[in-house]
Amino acid sequence: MFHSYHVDGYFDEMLQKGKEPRGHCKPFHEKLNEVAPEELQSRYELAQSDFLRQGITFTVYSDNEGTERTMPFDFVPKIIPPDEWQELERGLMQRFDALNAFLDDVYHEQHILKEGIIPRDLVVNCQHFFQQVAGIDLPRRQHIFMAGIDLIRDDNGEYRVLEDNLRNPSGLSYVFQNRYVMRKVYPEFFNQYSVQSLEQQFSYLHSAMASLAPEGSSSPTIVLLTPGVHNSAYYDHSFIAQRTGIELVEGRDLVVRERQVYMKTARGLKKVDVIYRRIDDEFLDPLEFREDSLLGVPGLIDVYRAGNVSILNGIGNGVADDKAIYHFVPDMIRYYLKEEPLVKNVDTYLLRYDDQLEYVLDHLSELVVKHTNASGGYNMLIGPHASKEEIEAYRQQILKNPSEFIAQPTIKLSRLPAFKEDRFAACHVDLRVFIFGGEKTHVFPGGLTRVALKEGSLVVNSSQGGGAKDTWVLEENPIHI
Amino acid sequence: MLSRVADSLYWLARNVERAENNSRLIAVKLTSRLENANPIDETNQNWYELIEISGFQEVFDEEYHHPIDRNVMEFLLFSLKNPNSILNTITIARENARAVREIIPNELWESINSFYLKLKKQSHTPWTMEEVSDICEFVKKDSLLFQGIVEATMPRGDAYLFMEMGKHLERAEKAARILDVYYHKNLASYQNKEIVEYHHWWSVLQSVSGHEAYIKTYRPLIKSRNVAEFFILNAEFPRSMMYCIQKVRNAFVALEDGHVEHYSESLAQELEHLANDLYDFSIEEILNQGAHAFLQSFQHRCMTIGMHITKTYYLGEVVIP
Repeated sequence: MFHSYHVDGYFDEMLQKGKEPRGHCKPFHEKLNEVAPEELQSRYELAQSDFLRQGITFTVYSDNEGTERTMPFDFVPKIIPPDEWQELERGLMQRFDALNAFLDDVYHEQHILKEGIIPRDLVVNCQHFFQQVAGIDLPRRQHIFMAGIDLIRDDNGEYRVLEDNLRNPSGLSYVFQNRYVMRKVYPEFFNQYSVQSLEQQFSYLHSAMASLAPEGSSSPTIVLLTPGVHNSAYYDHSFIAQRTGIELVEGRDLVVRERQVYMKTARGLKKVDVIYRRIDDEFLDPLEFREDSLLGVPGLIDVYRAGNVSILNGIGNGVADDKAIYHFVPDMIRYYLKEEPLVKNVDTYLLRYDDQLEYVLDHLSELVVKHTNASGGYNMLIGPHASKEEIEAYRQQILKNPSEFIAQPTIKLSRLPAFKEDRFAACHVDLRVFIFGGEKTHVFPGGLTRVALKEGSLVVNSSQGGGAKDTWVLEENPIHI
Repeated sequence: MLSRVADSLYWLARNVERAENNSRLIAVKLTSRLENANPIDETNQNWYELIEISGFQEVFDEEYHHPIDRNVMEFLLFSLKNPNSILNTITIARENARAVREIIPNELWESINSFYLKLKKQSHTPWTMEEVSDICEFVKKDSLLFQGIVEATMPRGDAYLFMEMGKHLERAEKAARILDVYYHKNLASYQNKEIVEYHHWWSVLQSVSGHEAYIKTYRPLIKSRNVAEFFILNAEFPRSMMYCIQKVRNAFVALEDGHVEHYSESLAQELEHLANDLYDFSIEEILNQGAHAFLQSFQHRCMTIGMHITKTYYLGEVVIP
């Protein structure tokens, strides 16, 4: 199964040069070699049909009929040894706290701008910076309830942050579903491992939400606001609502009366204290943002301003996960926490600076260039994989407005084996880690490992052929039962 | 509970019930056709009754022109143009379930989701008339599985009670509709009237799976009066109109903890009046009014009750002033 497998050129998380498994992967690797390929294939099909039966799908629209697809699941997990995880966890908490301090600062006194650490225009001209919410004091000054930080590992296996998602990161439900399916379909692979359990996480999540309620609400009513069943992340929404025991609502279920938010129940109106919203800022309140939004609740922002409802994540968080601001996160850590960053950024060029623009334009064929307002792997140039024409077209795009672009060296994403019927192939992976704030900052053990199943592809997004893997964080002191 | 959620639960239960009732009707028609005494001229008329019961004759006439086997079956099973086709009702049920999947047990969601996926797959196959009875059987079984999961796993709170109201109101209305359509049929012109009549009423009973229970009460003497009494007034048979209305009323009483408030007054009254009427009338009194008139008025009152449920609990798109 492994003879056509290549480990050269990239960091392989399971195998070392010479195809010897790394220490913590050894028992798994041995097990892999014991199971017959046909057996693996039939289990693979079982796993996919399980996702379909549970309706864990996203809808792809072509002609008039929507086709429901499951996210492909690859059963070779990402295994993280305890010491590696602890280091990462510390680094991510540090980053989370600095980003939160930054948000509170830019929406209040703006010290960091006054001291010139971050250029003012970069912040105030960012499309996700909302003057409407400046000066609002949030409970616990917590702007970030949940962050999904995307990590990659470079040539040397060192973790680096690729993106901070501080608005509506999705995928938490997949972390759980991947684990459930893995346990159900491949139970024996767990035999020699003691993996950190995910089960108690929802009680932490619930108390984090409750701790962010407006002052004085002793047993707050918490709801999750979804755009509805047709949203591609609807499964995520309904799963989180169910597991945390909160009500799943749509905009049309909520109404504002006398600076309070209520939900429409079968027995009349009921006051709502905390809204974990999965609707973008611009759609939250047609009176303040987009007038044409049908998803939101008219008057909601006014209630937020009055301090009568908490909205998680905070409004205007997008200014901190902007692709250009990203460049300055290490400076934020130094500025607010007086610490050195524990997890590095990927080197980033800001094309607003002439010297960096010049360098990038000279090296387009080696770099990855991204538009600062795009996400999901769209509208980016992957230099080494692009044709001359594509590069030239993108060059013209950049020149129109250079400050809207950033560039990064082509990141050599690390790889893990992925199952391909009769063999294993080395496919690129990244990792989204979920972190939430409340009484204290907490990191979900593991996260969502995304894999580019098209061999050679560096794009892990599910909309473009990506799949998922289970992520195991090993216990420090294995519990043997 | 959110009004939108209550609405979804109510329609989830109604649509699964509707699919099951329709599959029972089709299955009975298929068998009775095989055994029919004078099949040729019978066929078309027979099929047409099913389309009448579905309530969408115009749509059918516009789409197909000829009530031949396959057309009728496609219309009743899979047509997207027929709002009550089995595929449509299960699609609606599944969409409703998806909107409340954090409220209902996961097993229930999985069962309705698999039900839908199987049906959808079936609709894309080049199915033949020979397969129809298997399809009906599977629809019936999956509906029963759905109901079984509801009974075995759902707490008897608001969610369950809204489903209970939806299911039994749907069942009551359908029972009246079936009886009405069959009662309407003029059997006088048949030569072998006795056999035809027997056959006719036997089919009616079968379509609500009531033939066995009927025999236990009335012996194998199939008379229209007895069938009507069984359908309308039997207090024990779970698909009789009396039983179903009683169930709707019980669910309402449980939902309101036995109280009647200002907002629920009209629903309470409507339910009480209908239940009392069924209780007070004898079958002779009903037949003297004319079966058709009685059954029409019953269906109408069920619709009124449905409207009161919607108003009382703000179901559907509601604007709160």
